[in-house]
Formats: sequence, structure tokens, C-alpha cells
Amino acid sequence: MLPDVLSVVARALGFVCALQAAGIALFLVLFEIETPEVRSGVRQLGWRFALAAVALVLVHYGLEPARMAGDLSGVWDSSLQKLAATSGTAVATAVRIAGLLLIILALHPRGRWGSGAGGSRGAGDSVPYSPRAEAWIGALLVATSFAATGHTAAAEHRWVLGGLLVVHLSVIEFWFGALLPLIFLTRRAPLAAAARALQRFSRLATLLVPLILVAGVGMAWLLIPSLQVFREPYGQLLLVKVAGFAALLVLASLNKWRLVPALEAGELGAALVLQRSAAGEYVLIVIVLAATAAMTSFFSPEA
Amino acid sequence: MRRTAFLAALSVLLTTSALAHTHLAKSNPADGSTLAKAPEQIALQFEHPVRVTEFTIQKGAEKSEKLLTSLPEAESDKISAAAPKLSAGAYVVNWRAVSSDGHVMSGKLRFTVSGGSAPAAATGKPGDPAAAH
Repeated sequence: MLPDVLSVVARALGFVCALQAAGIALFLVLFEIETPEVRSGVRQLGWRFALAAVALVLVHYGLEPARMAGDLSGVWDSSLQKLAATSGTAVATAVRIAGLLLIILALHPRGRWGSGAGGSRGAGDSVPYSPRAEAWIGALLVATSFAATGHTAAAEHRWVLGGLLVVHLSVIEFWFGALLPLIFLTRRAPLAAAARALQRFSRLATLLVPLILVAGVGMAWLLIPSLQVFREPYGQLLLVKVAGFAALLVLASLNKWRLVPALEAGELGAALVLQRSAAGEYVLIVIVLAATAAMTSFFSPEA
Repeated sequence: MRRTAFLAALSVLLTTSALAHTHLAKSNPADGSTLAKAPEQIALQFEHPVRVTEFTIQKGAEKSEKLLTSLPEAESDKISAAAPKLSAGAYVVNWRAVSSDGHVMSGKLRFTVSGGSAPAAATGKPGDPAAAH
């Protein structure tokens, strides 16, 4: 029991940190942050999440032999370590770590996004390293790593499922990863700059977020054998995810149609309400990710 | 962008493969059964070959006991062991197995012995292909 609990906690926290780090890297690629101090702060946040994600992914992997044995002493069992090393979990871990290392490189202080506060480069300074490719590839590898193990990797239509999962997670990275930077912007940047960034994010999110649902429904269609599954823990946790997503759409719609226009119009208190709404979205996504970690660790759609 | 698309395709190819995800198909004794006398053997049969990593028996809140001194390293869709001497009471067989996709599955098999115990049994050999009922 204890190895299972520790494993799922490490897994859930690892999901949050990895998707957050990948999302911040994508945010910095997609949206120009006009204020250097805010850009540097967001970069540092992403860097810290990426480092935390690497640690948590390694802890989760290290606990696999213990999970296999049903006891923490299994960590030292060389035959179980070997079994873990030849499993899909090992492949997923390696791909995820590779993606996170690219993100750490992309968010490095010496890169373009690491330019210091108020620092404009002099004529003799070298061109800062541009980390766009590393950010894109790193974020993509993080999303793809989840297709290496579990039900999407084992099922009959694994190629389609793998593709759907990568789309699903890439958009989640984009959405989840943007929330903290947007909160940062509304707190630290001039309101006009924050409003511009929010509008740009909102336009892109309107196009991309429906793909989360489309990909999710596609995966459910292919994986779930019958409606009986909703009487089982796997199906019930899936319903928790669906409910979380529905609540997220309500908050996101409130932000788009009411709060961002209020911020643009300079309404008093709009920034604070927007921050709270974004924080609410963040908490909901964390709950959905925790439900996913539990669902995919312990249950199966075929149960 | 082309490089990104190529890497995306490559990473999906590398990370998805033909793997089997499996469940417990049958057991002996059957889960939830009440037996007049203690079973001579405890056996599990899975839908697909797995590597069993835990196979223990426990009575009530007592410490669990390993059913095999060493577990098979090869995958198999069956595992069985000679049952230890079991007195009347409720028992739980705890099992864990790793399927070929690396998924760790676990389960419990519960049964009750209402009557006397079977003769004392020797420690079972790993990988006995005895059929489950």
C-alpha cells in the first residue's frame, strides 16, 4: 500500500511540474512578454518547475520496483530493478527527462529569455541564444512520453491513441502552462500589456482547447469497452475529469467574455478578479491531473 | 517546424509498441469461495503472460507468508503453489504482476476454510503449470 501511495503522489506531482514547465516554455515561445522583469520571472518559474519535474519523475521511476514487490524493500531488488528498466515506464521516463532537459536548456539564464531586468545589450555583446526549437521539441517530448506506457500503448489502435494523447496533452501544456505567467503579468506588468497578452492567449485558446475534448472523446471511444466501465473506479475517475473540464470551460468563458474585456477597459479590480479566476482554473487542472495519475496507476478501462 | 514534425513522428513511433495489458482470468480457489476443507494448491491464471512479483497468503491481520520461496522470472499466464497448512478461517492471497507493457497490477483473492486443513505441503516450485479450476 505505501509504495502505491508514494508512487501515485510522485506521479501526480510529476505530471503537474512537467506539464507546467513545458507549458511555460511554450508560453515564452508563443507570446512576447514586453516587460523584462516579468519575462525573467516567468523563465525562472519554468526552470524551477522543470528541475522539480526531473526529480519527481526519477523518484516515481525509482519506486517502480517497490510497487512491483508491494513493499518498499523492493527498491533494492535487482531483478525487479531490471524488470522496471525493460518496461514501458523506463521508456516514458527517458523520453520525459530528455524533454525536460531540453526545456531546462531553453529556459537557461543565458538564453534570450534570460535577459536581465532593464538590460539592453550593448553593441559588442553576442546575440543571445534563441531557445525556440528546444522549447518546442522539449514540450513535444514531454507530451509524447505519456504515450510510451499504459493503456494507450497497449491497446489495439495504439498509433491513433498515441497521436490523440499527444494532441490532448500538448494543448493541456499550452493551457495549464499559461495560467501562472498570465497571473504574473496581471500583477507585475502594465495593465495594457497584460490585457494584450491575455487577448492573444484567449484567441489561441479558443482554437486549441476544443481539441482537448475531441482527443479525449476519441481516446475514450477507442479504450472503453462498454458503459459498464462508469460503474467502476476507472470510469468514475474519468467522470471526475469530465466534470473538471466542464468547470474549466465555464471559468475560461468567464475570463474571455467578461474579465479580459473588463481589464482592457481599465475597470477597477478587474485584474484581481482575473487572477482569482485563473487560480481557480489552475486548481481544477491540478485536481484533474491528480485524478488521471490515480486512474492510470491503479485501474483499467477493461475492468 | 519540419524538424519538429519529424521528431514528433519519431517519438510516437519509438514510444508506442505492441504490448499486452492483462487481467486475472481464473483462480483456485475462486475469489469469495468457502471451502469445506483447505485447498491443496493455490493457483492464478491470467489472460496474458505476466511476471508475478508478489504471491503471498495472509490470515486475518497476521503477517503474510510467501507462497513460493522464489518467484519465476519468466512471464507466464499461470502461477501456482502448494498451499501451506491452513486451519479454518478467512484467508487473503495477495498478488502483484507486471504485464508486458510495464503496468503493475495487483489483486486479492479471498476465500474461507470452514473445515479442517489439508496435509502439510512442501514449498511449491515456481512456474508449476497446474491448471486452475
